[in-house]
Amino acid sequence: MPRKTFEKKLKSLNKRVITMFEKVLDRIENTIEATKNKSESAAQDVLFGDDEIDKMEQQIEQMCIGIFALEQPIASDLRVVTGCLKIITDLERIADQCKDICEIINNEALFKDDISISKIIEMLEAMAVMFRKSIDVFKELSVDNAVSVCEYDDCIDKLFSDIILQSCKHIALNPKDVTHYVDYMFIAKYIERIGDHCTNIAEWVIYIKTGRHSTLDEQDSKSEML
Amino acid sequence: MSIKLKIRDLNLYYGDFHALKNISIDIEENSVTAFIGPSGCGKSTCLKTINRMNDLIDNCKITGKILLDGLNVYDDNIDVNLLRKKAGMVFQKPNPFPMSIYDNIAYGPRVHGIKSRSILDEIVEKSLISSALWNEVKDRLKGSALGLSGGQQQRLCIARALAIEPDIILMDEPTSALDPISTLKIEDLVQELKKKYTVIIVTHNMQQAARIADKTAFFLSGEIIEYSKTSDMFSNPADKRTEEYITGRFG
Repeated sequence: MPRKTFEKKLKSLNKRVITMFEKVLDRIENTIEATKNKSESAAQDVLFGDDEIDKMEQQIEQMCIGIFALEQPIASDLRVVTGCLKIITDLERIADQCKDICEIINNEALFKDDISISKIIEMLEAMAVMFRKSIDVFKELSVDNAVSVCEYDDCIDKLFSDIILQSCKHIALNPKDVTHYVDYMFIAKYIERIGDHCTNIAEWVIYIKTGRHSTLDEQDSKSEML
Repeated sequence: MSIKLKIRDLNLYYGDFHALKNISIDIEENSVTAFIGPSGCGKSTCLKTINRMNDLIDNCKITGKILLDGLNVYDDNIDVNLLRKKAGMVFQKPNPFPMSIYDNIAYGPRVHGIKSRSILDEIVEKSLISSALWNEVKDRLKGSALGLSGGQQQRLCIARALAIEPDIILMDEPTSALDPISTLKIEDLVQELKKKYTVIIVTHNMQQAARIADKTAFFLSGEIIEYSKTSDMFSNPADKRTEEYITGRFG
């Protein structure tokens, strides 16, 4: 088959993106560990491990730019390289959000409210399920499973609303605890954003496989109307 | 956009060899259409049926219709000279006549009966401006066309095609013998030309098709496998064979 070098580059790109997924999954698991078991070492791993993720993102970016410049990918190859380039941005953001959570979770006072912290843990675990599903979706390029990842985001959004409402109620009843509850709300917001990034990843997988992207297609039809 | 050229159920045989199989395609006016495909797939043959260049080949049998502005170019009462005036052609290798730059361009109009010096002057200037060559040759119109560079010679051939005021310009790999800069000049020129003309270009250079064509037809073994907007074909081809060809996985 022609284009052996190009095939090799595409395989290597795929492998690197999967490695980045796995590294980000480590960060998510450590964030859960830090929250569930108050593990300071797990939180430290997330905080100090962020540079590694940033570096991986830059290396994969360079690789994609190299492929664009030297191999001029088109059709499904173009979609794979573009999709990977977009997905690694979402992965990097997810790692950032884990870092943001771990910065807040170090505060011992947050663990006084068992109910709120258990809600946060529930939300974190739901998000981890969603993230693991998105890894499989990327590995298998499965459109059906990608759609179910996008749908799963509703669960995360529901948990987010619950935590916000609960926190608002607590603030109204106990105004002196406002800082803790703002922290809960921040954490919930970070997790909710991770859910959005997982949705983005699933949408890019759909694009890689089909050439259709919900947001892009919407913009296309709007600009055609103009 | 209105349809300039309609090809319907076109079949072409070179003796026993079935070179074009049931080709049906609509070409829009004032657009650039690229024909791509591997060697021997029928893209140049298809292009040449439009101005009946295949008439010159022995054993060539054609069935089906090619409607240019609604008229079938294979009707018995069609004047082939007038057809070729309507559908100008530019070939792979620049082929200027061994005469002056001026005479190369004036040749066609003279054949069609124009004798007035002032009208010919005007045609020559207009054609050279349209083919983006005027500034480079305006001071040496009486010089030999063979003294021009390859890229200039090809633009001269385009000017020669424009001089007879065609409706359609058929280009058969017009840049395959040119250097990259001359190629880009011709590509820019094609973008300009489509404002006034309908351009069909056969190219082996897929990036060229991607850069300049509004729509692209992929030919394989005498058939059109896919015909779509170029941006769609190069980002999301519908047929697996198109995908394999344009991504270089063919064969």
